[in-house]
Amino acid sequence: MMASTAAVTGGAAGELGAPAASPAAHQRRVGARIRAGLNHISFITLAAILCAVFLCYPVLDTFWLSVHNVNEFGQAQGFSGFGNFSTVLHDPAFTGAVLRSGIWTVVVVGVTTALGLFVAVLLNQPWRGRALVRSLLLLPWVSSLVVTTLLWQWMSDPDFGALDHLLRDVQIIHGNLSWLGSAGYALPLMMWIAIWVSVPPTALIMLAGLQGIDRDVYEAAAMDGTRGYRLFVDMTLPLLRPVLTVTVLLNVIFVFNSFPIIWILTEGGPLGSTNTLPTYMYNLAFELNEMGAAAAVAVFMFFLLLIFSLIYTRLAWRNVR
Amino acid sequence: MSRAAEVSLDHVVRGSKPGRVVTRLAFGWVVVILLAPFVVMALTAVTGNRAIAVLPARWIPKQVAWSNFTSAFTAVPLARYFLNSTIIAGGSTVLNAFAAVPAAFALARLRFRGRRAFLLFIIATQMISPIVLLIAAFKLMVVLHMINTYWALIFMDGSVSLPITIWIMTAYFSGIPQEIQDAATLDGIGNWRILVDHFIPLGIPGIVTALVFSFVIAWNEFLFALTFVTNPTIRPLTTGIYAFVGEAEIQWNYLMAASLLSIVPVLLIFLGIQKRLAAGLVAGAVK
Repeated sequence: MMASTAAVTGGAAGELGAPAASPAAHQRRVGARIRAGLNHISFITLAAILCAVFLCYPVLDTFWLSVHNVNEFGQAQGFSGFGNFSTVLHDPAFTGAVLRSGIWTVVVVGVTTALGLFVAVLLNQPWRGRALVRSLLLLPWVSSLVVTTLLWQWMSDPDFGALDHLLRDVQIIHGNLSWLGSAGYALPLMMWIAIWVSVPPTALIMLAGLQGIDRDVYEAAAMDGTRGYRLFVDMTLPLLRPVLTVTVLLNVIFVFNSFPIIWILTEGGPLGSTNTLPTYMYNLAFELNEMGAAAAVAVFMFFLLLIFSLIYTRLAWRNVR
Repeated sequence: MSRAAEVSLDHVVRGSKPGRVVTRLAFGWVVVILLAPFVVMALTAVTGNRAIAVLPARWIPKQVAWSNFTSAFTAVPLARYFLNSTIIAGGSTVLNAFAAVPAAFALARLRFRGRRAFLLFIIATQMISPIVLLIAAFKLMVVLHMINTYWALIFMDGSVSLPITIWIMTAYFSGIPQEIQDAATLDGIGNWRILVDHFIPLGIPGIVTALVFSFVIAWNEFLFALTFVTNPTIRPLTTGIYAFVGEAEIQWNYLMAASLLSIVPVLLIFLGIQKRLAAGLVAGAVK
């Protein structure tokens, strides 16, 4: 992502030059340049307006709201400085949500990356039925999170669910296990759902990256006598690094901000025991009508991700190029 | 490369035989775990009303109740939800196309002042996630009188996916030979004509890939739909299916039948462009 910026922007300067011969010619040239400029700007107008109105303005307004007293209709009533932030920081439920968001993101992205890489490497080897498996892996990806979450809700039903049914059949549990009813099992189940929906797209993107690696590289390594596992660690992983870097970053952003799984299953409950920052914020804004405090949480989330992304990309792209 | 060399190279890459068996078995399990829930979904979708409530639960229903697929349409306004999702996802994709195609062309092929700024702007907006801008976006929708209209979702969904579609299309347009543009410019053809006559036809694969992403993001969008639309007649499939759950007794067999049907359009589209799907994303992300 970052490396491409330099590559694409490389030729931005130049082409403006050649001193004018006469005032008239100069004027003509300036006119032409303005016309060319307007012509070029016309291509980006609609995109720029949409981004400005529906993405940038709301973000700026969120910043504005976070430092104001806000009524339940979302109207700012007066400057409050860091009042909203201080309210939120003193809420033990917020601290819990931050902690849970951290665990949630690290576990889900970690396991997803490992499993995704494993699946991608095996899908990159030639075997019969590979195309079929690759197509079937689109299923969790194309289903909306609502559908997959409800599917898992149904499967974790203590009486009729497939999960308990299976665990009873293999004698791991006797009787019923209420996954969503017990604080110790609800969040792990949600993390598993998040992993389960994230692995297929991650694997398919990594697979595309693997297919982009030149086979000659492997042949050269094979000549040197490098085999199997070492080949993977010494050749595949370094060559796949740009793709790995990007998938991890994108997954961190998506997973950290993930809302539907937890909201659909428990709305963050019981008693906030499954709240992460997104559900905590949503609850604050639309159930408790605490718009100012909710905006403060949104700003906090924004900066947390921004700081992470900056540090991460700096570390990840060090030594590259 | 000869066939023999290919086989031996694969052998080298895969490693020793016992190791291979273990990895194959592990892989098989992972695939089963990833796909088994959909088997459960399909089996539940064809379980009859009485059979679904009988304990102990059966894996395979004794009778296949195909009627669930039609009953789901009468139990909830499923047809309405399908129509709404089509309008919302279709509308936001069209909006996205009109905004993203010219913008990507400009980024890839035109040299203008403010180009770098626009590029940074696009990268920065890519970092913005729906949950962060939700509160202020809700306010904005109230001001624009778009709450409980298709427009709220068309504009938000179409805008949220703009950075990624512009990104994918820019990567694709950058790969089109410069001579085509130069020749047309020498003939005195304007930039818009060049875009419409040459770059759009040549860039169709990249454009379609990007727009599929836009469509699927909108089709599966939940957060905005939940917040901006409470009127059941405007509701898309996602919040429509979710509303199933709010009712006293969940008819899980109907719910699974409806869910299965909701996946079909997106799956067909994805299968159609499967080859380019991930490649397009990787190109957009790292090229």
